[in-house]
Amino acid sequence: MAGMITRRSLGASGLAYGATAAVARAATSPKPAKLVALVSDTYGPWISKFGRDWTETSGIPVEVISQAYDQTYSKIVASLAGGSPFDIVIVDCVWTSAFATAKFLRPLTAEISPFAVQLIPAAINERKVDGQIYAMPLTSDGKFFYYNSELLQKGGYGAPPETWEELGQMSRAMQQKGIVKHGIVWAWKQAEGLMCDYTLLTAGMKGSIQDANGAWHFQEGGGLDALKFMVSQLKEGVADPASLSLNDRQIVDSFDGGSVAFMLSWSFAFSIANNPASSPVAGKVKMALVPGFAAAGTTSSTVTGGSGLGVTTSSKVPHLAWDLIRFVSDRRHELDVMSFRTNMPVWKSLYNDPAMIKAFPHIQQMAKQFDYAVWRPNLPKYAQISSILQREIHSALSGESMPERALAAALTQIKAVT
Amino acid sequence: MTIRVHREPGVETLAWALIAPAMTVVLGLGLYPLLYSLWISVERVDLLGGAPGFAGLANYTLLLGDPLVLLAIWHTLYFTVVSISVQSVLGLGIALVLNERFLGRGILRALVFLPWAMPTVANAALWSWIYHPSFGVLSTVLYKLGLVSAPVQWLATPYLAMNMVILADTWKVTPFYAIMFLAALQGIPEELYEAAAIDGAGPFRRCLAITLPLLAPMFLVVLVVRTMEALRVFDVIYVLTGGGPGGGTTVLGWVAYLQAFQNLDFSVGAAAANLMVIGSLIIAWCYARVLRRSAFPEN
Repeated sequence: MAGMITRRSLGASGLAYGATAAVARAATSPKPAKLVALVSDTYGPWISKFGRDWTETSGIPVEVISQAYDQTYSKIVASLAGGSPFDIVIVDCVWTSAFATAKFLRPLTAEISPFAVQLIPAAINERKVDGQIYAMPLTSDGKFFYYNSELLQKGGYGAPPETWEELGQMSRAMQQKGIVKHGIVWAWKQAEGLMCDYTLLTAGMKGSIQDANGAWHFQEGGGLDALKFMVSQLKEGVADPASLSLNDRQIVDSFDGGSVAFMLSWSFAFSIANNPASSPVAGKVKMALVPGFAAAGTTSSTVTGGSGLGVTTSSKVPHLAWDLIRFVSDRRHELDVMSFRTNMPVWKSLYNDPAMIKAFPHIQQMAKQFDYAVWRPNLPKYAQISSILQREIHSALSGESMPERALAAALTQIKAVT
Repeated sequence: MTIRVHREPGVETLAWALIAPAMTVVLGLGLYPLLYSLWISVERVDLLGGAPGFAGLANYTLLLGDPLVLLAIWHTLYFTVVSISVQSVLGLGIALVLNERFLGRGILRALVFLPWAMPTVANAALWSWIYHPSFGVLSTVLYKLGLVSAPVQWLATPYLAMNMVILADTWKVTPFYAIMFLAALQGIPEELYEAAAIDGAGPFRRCLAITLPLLAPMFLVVLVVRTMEALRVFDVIYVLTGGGPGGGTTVLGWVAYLQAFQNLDFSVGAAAANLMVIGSLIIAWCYARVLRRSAFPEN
């Protein structure tokens, strides 16, 4: 009878365990001085606000550090590889694989799985690496088509173009009439935004960057046609030549200047362009489906984006970090988020929520665009692959290299590193 | 007759004690990271896979066998040679002017030094607005002068972008040359010029025979310092072009940054950084050999 487990011994050991665990927890996890989150600047303001609300209930201050998107990736890498005490970092959809592989993020599968089915599939699938979920989706995003309705009216057009060919005709006509300097401004600086536009246009040309087996296809078919189209946009003068030096955030300022009729940008552009305090074209900016290609017979295409929040492996209080993340991403806050930046919610129920639709009618327009969305490859070496493609595509756009040669060179370099 | 200096006991100990704090800082903040960087460049530290282990010179041969890295080395050399040449000439010209006596010389000397006081990143941000493809002031000025009919895309093509980066760097850095050369010029005795003038030497001959040779030691100092800095160029490229357009301003420093912070391959990044160190050392040694002989002929 000596080694038998009795109810009393179980109860006693359970109590003992509970007591030691409580003591241990109290001894090893005192309240942290603060939680630190590293995000990009279009997220900073509202995460700070919710952070302050969370502090009122938890008593722990939250520090939010933010900078431009183009600098965020390297800042996260430098900080986390060096052991900086960040608890929460923003994880753009294309960074998930790299950060997970480099062991920067804790898996959040246990925390998120219970309600994963309430999130839109696009949002949750992009956060998964090897079956584990590494970030809580915060925003779902895509590239949308914006146009200046006043300029179109002046040109005698009642509706925005449905194909890129039509856009070219409209632009040339309006340029000739002197209504616009250029038809469209693109974000084609050598940065991630260029890769997004290329992916979107490749899909519009019925091509793809990579297939399901991992074979590369951007150098032929739709991918090649897309690059040729981009080159022609600049050569024919439809696109503002400044496009080669502007990024996603900067083109909104150019569009707001009122001398350009069309723009492709993320959801944040909608609130900035329609903000009467800072935009000369506020109230005239409307959204439509991204045009398709008549030549390829497509209706529309777009590329997904959006970010999530992840808990770092170096965080000393992961449970508190998760608590803050859960608070920030709660669907009750979505209306507040929309007032800071217009974006797509990640919660399924919000798409049909009457209050949301009433406050933000564009949400249904954005949801329609998502029917035509494609993803950028979510690979550990995505940053390097994207960098190679950006460089070669930019070479072709600036006329330094022919499109075929540029994409062939990109393929050789990508194969060498993957 | 040699003069022996009688040193009091304890002076040497005091000397060491006084420089010990500075030595600790230099060794701790300078030497340790340098040695650590050398160490990880012969290891394999790739956060995205690749088994860790000793790599020997594999990272270096990988870099030197990559045509894009060789192109980056070429860009770095182009940047270095062109910036130093332009900046030396401009700096010497400014120094010669500031060496003359005229009204307002004191204020002008202070103003000329102002760009040098700006942080490099602030300078680059300033020039990114001057070069803005739609609203940039440089295009506006040229437009008003009737030299261009539309805003110029300064940073859209590789060759032009590289030269614009050099211009942005030159504006900030030329005061350094000017101040150093001015200091050297002020050390040249007036009597030498007067004697040469009496002997019939014109201003140009005086410059060639007196000014430039006596400026050589300072020129060596400036050359070594500026070559090291130019080979290391990074922040102006980070802010202005991000290595673009089409990789046209990718220099070795940018390659190191991409390898480490974009590709998460810290050992190759360290190897690229150490290539810059080795390059700088070789060039500094060459300078010392060539210029010291001409600057200090009696040695």
